[in-house]
Amino acid sequence: MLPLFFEQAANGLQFGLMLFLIAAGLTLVFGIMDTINLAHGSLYMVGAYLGAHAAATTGSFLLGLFTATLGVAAIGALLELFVFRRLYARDHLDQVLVTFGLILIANESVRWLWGDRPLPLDAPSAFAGPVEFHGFSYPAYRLLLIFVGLTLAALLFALLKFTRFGMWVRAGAANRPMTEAMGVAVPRLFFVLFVVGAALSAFAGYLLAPLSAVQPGMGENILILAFVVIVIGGIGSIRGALVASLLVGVVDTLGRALLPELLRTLTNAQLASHLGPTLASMSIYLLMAAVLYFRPQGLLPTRL
Amino acid sequence: MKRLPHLLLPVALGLFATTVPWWLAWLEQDYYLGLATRIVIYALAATSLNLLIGFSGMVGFGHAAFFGGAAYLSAYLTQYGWYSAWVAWPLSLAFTGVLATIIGLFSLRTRGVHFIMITLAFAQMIHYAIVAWPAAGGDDGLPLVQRSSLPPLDLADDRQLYWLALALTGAVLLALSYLARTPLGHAWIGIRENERRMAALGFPVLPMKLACFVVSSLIAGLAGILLVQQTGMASPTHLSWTTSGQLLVMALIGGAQRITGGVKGALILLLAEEWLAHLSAYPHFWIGLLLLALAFRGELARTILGEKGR
Amino acid sequence: MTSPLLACRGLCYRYGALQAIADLDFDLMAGEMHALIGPNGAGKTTFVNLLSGELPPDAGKILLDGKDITRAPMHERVAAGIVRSYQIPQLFPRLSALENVALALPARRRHRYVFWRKASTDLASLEEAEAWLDRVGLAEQVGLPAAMLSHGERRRLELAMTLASGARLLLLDEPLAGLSAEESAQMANLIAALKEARTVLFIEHDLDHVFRLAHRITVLVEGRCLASGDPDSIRAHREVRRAYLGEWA
Repeated sequence: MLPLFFEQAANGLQFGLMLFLIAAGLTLVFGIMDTINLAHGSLYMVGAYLGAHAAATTGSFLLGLFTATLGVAAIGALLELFVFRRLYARDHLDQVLVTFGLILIANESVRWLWGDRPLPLDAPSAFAGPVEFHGFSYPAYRLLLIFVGLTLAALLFALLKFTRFGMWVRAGAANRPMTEAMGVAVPRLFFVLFVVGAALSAFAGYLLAPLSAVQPGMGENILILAFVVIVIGGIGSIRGALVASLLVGVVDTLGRALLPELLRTLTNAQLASHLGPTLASMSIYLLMAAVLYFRPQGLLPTRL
Repeated sequence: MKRLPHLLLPVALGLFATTVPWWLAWLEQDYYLGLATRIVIYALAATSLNLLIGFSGMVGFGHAAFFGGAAYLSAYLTQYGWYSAWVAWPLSLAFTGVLATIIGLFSLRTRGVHFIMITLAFAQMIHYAIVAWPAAGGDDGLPLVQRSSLPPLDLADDRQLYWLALALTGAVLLALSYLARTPLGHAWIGIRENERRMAALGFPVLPMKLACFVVSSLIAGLAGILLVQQTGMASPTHLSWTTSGQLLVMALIGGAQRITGGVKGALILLLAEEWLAHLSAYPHFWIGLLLLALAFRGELARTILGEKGR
Repeated sequence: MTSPLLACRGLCYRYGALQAIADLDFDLMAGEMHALIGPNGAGKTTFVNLLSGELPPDAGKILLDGKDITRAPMHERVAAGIVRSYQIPQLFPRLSALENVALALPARRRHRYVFWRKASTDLASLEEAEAWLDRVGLAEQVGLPAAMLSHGERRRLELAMTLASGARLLLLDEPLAGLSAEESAQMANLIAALKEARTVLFIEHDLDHVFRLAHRITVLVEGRCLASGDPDSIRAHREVRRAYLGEWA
């Protein structure tokens, strides 16, 4: 039981960190621009597709990573310039309409270009096997993701804390009228934020691809998870997003792995086999409902 | 006398809609009766969101839970031989009402973006709960054993099912346009316009919003029950967030605050889908573009007309 | 000694580190016209928010007719007869002036769940709403959406709604704010006409109007009651003169 627990906890950490990379951009777009972007998950999906395609043609995993990140950054830049820039001032209903349309376009485009079947992507051979550590064995690739995720998260926090740009972002998230008061810098700030958010999301999409399937619609489940994360963490709060990502990652992973087992020891096997998977897949939404009920502004809200 | 031209269009449309089965028979296109029924049912479902948004200003992004939830329960009941619509439908609606009350009690503590997201999260919760429950058929969905019996109607006849859906949708539309003129309708509109003021005027805002949310959910649930009758199947798609999004988009493109918005939206979206499916292997790509064009129609018109002017 | 209509004992409220209302005792007699004055940030609006139920006090008690309403939700306080107005008029911008006032009528509160009868069949209510609009001088604007009214007209519409609610205790938050001298005088007359008929607690900065309208004045500074009494005693109060009146002198 114990090794299983540690392995699943590590998986939860790894998933949570990737979730953080996806949610980070989304929560800032939400908090600062007050804009709902349903198409954020599509950026994640397009990242995985571009990367997997590049990796398959060149044979280099790293080149795939660059293609995914830079390609989606470019797509994000175009989207910001031609679509989102006109959307910030509109109401939420228009934002839902437009970004829902973008999802449809993205899903059909990847089907058009790459077909219905999932695209294969293997982890780089150097990280294909497990690593042994004091009798525990753990997949090297997942360990790499934990390492990369931690590094990027630290980098992001340093950027936000120590640069002038980061100061603007934090000020804007804490107090939205403040963003307007910053004057000329606003369009540039929004642009950079959107592009960085898109790139981070694609980066995570590509890195997660060897562990999941690259297929149309893959962005939608992750989008909902990212929403759950930013609502739990508090909209616009980057620290909240980190805490909530890890919470969601761990609760989801552990719930799926351990809850059915746990129920089996508590009640009869038949009921457990019915209830276990149901409860496990509901667990993060229960978590979200609980957080919202007791703290409607999220765990670490940016403003009072 | 003055109101006559005002009534002319709805009456003409109603007459046309009623005679659709005969037109289709005359054109020997009976295949399209299914599409017509689906349009009417989705119009009803989208109208439930027009009620929610138009009257009390709440943007619900989780109506798939009520639409699909009622669909599943009504299909489930037929597995146990509950074929009578007089029993199975009210039961399914009662379940939807209880569900909506619970979800509403949580969600209504929040507003704006938070409300959008929490209704979405609850709908996801219901989705996973039902799909993971073995008796609900998992990813395959739950088949309807046979269509409900609703004497004196015979729902096994596609035309009668169409007429029933049409009658119910028409009744809901009429009821809503009447509601807009009643004290309750005015109170809901007051909440949409200025919730804080309504509270200061002594209206218990929360219970009133909950009432609106539950009524809206019941209408979505009724649409779900009808849809199962038509498709013969409750499927996970009916519960998925894309269904919530689709219903919301229908309600929006027809005009979110108009009672007839959902009808227009369902017509546009489902007809476009059907038509584009004949033209392209990727119809939703074009639907996506259509949504963008609708949202930016002001800008588009200005660009085109501006260039003409020069 | 008659007992007060509204009484507060040991009322406290804080925003984070700021003690907005500190251990405040306050009495309001039935039928009196009571002014609340004090410098910006003294806690005047916070106090009104506590009385109307928009904010829950951290400590203390609010009694209406000796009945504890400290935790009562807003709609129960309205039913008990307390209605407030806002510093920035809170209207229904897309509804007509008439419909704005009609929504405030007690009949609409009672019939809030009525869905089987058109609101327009309740002719008595519509006449009543029109009468209130007439009273504040908005008879001409009955059919205009609130968004189309001028600032002065919005203020009067706000007052008409507060009056139409049928409340015996009105809490008016700066009813003269932003009005021209002429409009202010008009509004002051409307408020003066309420004497005896209703109990009024109002916030106001213009001391000329305050001394002319009020039976009693309470001076709030940093969430505490600095002084309370009739206009003459407040005018004579040394501390008030030094700490407060000096600002305008």
